[in-house]
Amino acid sequence: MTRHWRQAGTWHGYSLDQAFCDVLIIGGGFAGLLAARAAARQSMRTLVVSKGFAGADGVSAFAGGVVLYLLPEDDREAFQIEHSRLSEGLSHPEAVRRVAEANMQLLGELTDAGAPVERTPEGRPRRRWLPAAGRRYVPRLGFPSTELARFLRQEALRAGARVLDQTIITRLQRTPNGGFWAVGFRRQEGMLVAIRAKAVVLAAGGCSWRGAHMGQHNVLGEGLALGLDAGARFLGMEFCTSYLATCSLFDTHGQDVLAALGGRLRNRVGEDILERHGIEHPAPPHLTAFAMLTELRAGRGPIHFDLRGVPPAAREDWETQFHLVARGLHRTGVDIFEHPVVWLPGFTGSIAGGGGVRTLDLAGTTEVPGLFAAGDAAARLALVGAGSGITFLNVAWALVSGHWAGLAAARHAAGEELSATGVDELLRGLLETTVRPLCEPAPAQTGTLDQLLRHTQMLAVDPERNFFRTPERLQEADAQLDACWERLHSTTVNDWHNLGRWYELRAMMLATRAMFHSALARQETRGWHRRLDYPERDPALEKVWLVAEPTSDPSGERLPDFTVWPVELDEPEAFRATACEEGAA
Amino acid sequence: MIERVDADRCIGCTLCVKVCPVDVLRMALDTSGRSKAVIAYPEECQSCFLCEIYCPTDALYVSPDRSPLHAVWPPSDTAAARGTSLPTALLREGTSGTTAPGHRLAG
Repeated sequence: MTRHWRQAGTWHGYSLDQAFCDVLIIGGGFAGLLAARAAARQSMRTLVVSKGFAGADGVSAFAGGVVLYLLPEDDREAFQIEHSRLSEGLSHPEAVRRVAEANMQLLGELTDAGAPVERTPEGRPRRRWLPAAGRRYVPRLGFPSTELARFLRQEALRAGARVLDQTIITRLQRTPNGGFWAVGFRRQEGMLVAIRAKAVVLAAGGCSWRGAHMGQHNVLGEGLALGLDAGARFLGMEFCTSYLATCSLFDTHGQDVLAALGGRLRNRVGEDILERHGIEHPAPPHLTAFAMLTELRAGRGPIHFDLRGVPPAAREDWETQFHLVARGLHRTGVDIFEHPVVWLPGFTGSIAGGGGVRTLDLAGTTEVPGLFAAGDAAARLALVGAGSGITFLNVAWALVSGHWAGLAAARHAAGEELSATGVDELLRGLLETTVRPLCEPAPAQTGTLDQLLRHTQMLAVDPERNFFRTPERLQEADAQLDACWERLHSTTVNDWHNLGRWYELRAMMLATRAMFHSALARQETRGWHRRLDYPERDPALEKVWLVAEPTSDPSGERLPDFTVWPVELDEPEAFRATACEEGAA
Repeated sequence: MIERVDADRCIGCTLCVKVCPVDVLRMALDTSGRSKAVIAYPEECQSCFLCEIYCPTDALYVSPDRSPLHAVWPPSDTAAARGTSLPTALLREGTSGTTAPGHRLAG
């Protein structure tokens, strides 16, 4: 078996593509590709599985093209103080320091290898200062995100990793004799996939609840669900209720940058909505969202974004950083910089909020031996706290956490022995579960999938339920989820494309429940988490993270409940990145 | 949402099918038996332009109009109950196009 990376076969009339590897990376965004590069460089047989095309997948290829680039000579203390204020606690200076440092080193390596970053005429990385996310000056490096993603795919391939594109992993389980089975399918070929791996890096993104923003459309929490299936827990899910303002003409990220450059959100009567709520410019995204949603529910909408104060040079800069968005806006025929248009709060779930799979250190170690989490799939409270993970921080986190998790997974795989396994009993069960919703031929029930998507979105995205939170509204929404789950499990699909949608909905429902149960448990208002019955920050919760664990098997017919318990964030071991520090040489 | 694939320009290279993050495009044989990209699941399109960017012959066009599945803020039944069901009306106003709005701010 070890002689073959891949082996074609059949199972119950389906084509079955079997593969064997040391390190399996699930997800082909920045985090996954950096993990693959790191693991392959440790001479591990490394396989990347991407739902789309690795290097054009997840949110990475669409991210705003800016990443934190803090140098040793900078005033790091000032950065930390501002960061701590804007994250409203729960981040940790030690984690921020380590991520910023490792990110600087990693960007240096990638730049030397020819990464497409903004450069000076001499070819050195061109560092600039940008206002963003409530900060007046963020030291940052610019890059074209689609090209950087493509470059990182090449880097992973050059290091020796292999890639399976357009492949969806549906089930992940650790086997009693060590290692994992990951099962899924290739949606375009219509064939099953079974991968035996010694270690796994989960880098399949967070959950946007199929949010508005470009790229977030295709992350519905599959990374989170796979973590649960394998036995991991969640952390910080109560903060996954983020909204980033988006333009109604064409969905547009980067609003916080435009606001910091002089853009003003105004309500129906022309008032600056931040000023109206006593929020200082520039505001962090969670406070902008609060002002927007409050104005809308008070009937003072619609909200227009007045960008006439943005200097032309800054506008050009923004259009370079958000080039795909600029392309779409250009096609609408409206110059939003000259004519203020309506902007809306666009739900972004865990993409700007910091919850996800719980890791025990910065190397992505989970509670499941051999399973590591990175990028948006991993909880990143240590970095972003209760506030926003926003482009310049999220990209740094994706690169660094991917790199660290890749090294940690490689180290784990090096110490793991796996014997050859054919289609064993465990695999048979996983394959059966994977194809269970698929009935060919059967009447298409795609209408039901649409309805379930809308229903689940309504529960999570509705600010009355999930932004201005009360226990009653959360419980009312939570009760409806059981019916959604039951209905999903009695819904069949008749092609592989829709089988993918079925699993997206499953993941989204699990994430919704974990979010609601975590939100019920945190009795205070902090960052993205807002409880109308507890409107203040509770000093006793200043350093308390919440872990959520399912009380029943998440692959069962019943939607699991979550027990939620506190952990103190001051345990120093939580900020180890051992794999990086010892393995980088 | 993706609007068209120009079959005359399409050279059947499959790049757009490979890079689409949401599986909108597939390959199919045309009446002359040539393999061409076709729009299979248009409602999934997020107007991200990747297919356009990767296409070597400029054979695709993506419109900035988003699919109806693409909820920015789904109409809320709780807001309707409160009599402040703004989102739907807002979207309509926002997307009504080029007549948008500077005048609201003039005062």
